[in-house]
Amino acid sequence: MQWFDCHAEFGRRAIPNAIQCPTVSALADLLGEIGVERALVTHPAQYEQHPAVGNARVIEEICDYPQLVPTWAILPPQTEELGTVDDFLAAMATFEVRALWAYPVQHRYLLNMTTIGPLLETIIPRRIPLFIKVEGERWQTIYDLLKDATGLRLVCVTTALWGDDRFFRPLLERYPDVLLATSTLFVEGQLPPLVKHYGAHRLLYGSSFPDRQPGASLFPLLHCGLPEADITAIAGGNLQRLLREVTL
Amino acid sequence: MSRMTPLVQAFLKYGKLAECPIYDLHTHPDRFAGIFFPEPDMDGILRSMDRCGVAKIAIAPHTALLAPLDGNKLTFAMLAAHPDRFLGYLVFNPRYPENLDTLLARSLETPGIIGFKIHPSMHDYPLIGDAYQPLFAWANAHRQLVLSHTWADPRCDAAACRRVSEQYPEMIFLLGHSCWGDFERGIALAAEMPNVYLELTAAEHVPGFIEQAVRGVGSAKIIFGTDLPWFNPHYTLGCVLFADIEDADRHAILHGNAERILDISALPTS
Repeated sequence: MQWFDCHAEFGRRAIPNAIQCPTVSALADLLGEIGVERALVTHPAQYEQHPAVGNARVIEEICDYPQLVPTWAILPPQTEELGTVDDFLAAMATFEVRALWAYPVQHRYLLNMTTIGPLLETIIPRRIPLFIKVEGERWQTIYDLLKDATGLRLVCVTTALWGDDRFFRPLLERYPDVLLATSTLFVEGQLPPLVKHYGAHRLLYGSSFPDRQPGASLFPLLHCGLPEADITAIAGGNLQRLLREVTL
Repeated sequence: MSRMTPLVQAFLKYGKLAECPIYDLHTHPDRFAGIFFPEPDMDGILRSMDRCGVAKIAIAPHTALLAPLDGNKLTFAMLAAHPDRFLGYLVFNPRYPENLDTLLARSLETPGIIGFKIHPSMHDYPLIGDAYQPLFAWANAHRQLVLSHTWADPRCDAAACRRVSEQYPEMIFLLGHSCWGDFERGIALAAEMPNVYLELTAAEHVPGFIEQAVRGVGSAKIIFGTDLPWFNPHYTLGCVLFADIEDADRHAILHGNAERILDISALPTS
């Protein structure tokens, strides 16, 4: 079984987190220590400073760490801060970036088709997954977006301390390309019914490091009583498949 | 120091260890309005305990938090059904102070009741309010245990906890959630007062908190809790296992301290 973390971060935040990894080497060491072979990574500069700065930084800093896989942050294409949509896609192809993050709160834009439609129309047929953090009433934004963004492969990383099943289960039921990261699925007994109703292929192991303890996130999946094939898929197989299916 | 000690590796491999049983002193079986729990009933709770190697839990069902007096019936029923696995808190709602005498009598006569659970935020009543004082005086006189919800909330923050613990120093006072959001003052209080303990529910999720608490108060004053079924015991266990502390600290937090303050060997068995 190969662990492939869909949500890990390296770099210093403006307000330091107690267990953050200030350097990429520190993150690589940490993942190695707890037995996580690969990780899809972000850098705080992507949402604290500017995607143009943070995206470049991710590429630059992970180049000697093949186990770390880059993700980039998006912005509304209208302002062309990341170039045109074609420019952005060409750069993704150059640097083998196969997953994106949206930070609409930090970057102050509306996550809807009017705003990011021109970008989504390009990434949807390419099967590029888009990651987003969401909780509570902000699920309404996701409901609204998915009504229009047919086929969008959206990975939701819930940040709620309380279980959000009543928010996300209707989306899993209606939209087959919606997936969940496991990093904050804390409710006891939460994983097996999700697998039963929607399939193991809808879940990706994630640590949400450094907001969550990365080692602890292994336990609920390892010992939840699911068949080994499901655990293996969630631990890393699903993410590998997702990235393999991307066309750049 | 590597996090992967033999204890951590064994837990990762097996999911539970006989030589490190877990005592969870903060749980809430039963359904709840604002959140979906897949298996909140007694059988589901037992399955979870078995899977995660949890030897005993102390329960205060949601029903008891919300429905005065009647709600504690579920506690009695669960204790009677599985006295070897369940310990109980009686819930006192200060909005119904007339129930206190009945509850105090039941607490002494019911095997497995280890103390009282109070929730100043849910009941919108301050810890230092008049209605709580007879309970605290009783707990102080009998050296009984009180688990309070504590938070960065003026009704139950570290300042309020300090006033109570200074006035009732013999009461065994578990700071549920370790004064979440008011951690430094909560740690200072537990370090200063011999009978005040930090209880980890939800606080263990905060990166670095366990290390901070062990440094500040010592692992002998830290109690394991999960709010089960709110939080997966394996996740919260993992937070303790992967914290940058020693195995001796992990043993103290997961079972040693509960065994000591409850005198587990003297409690009911099936």
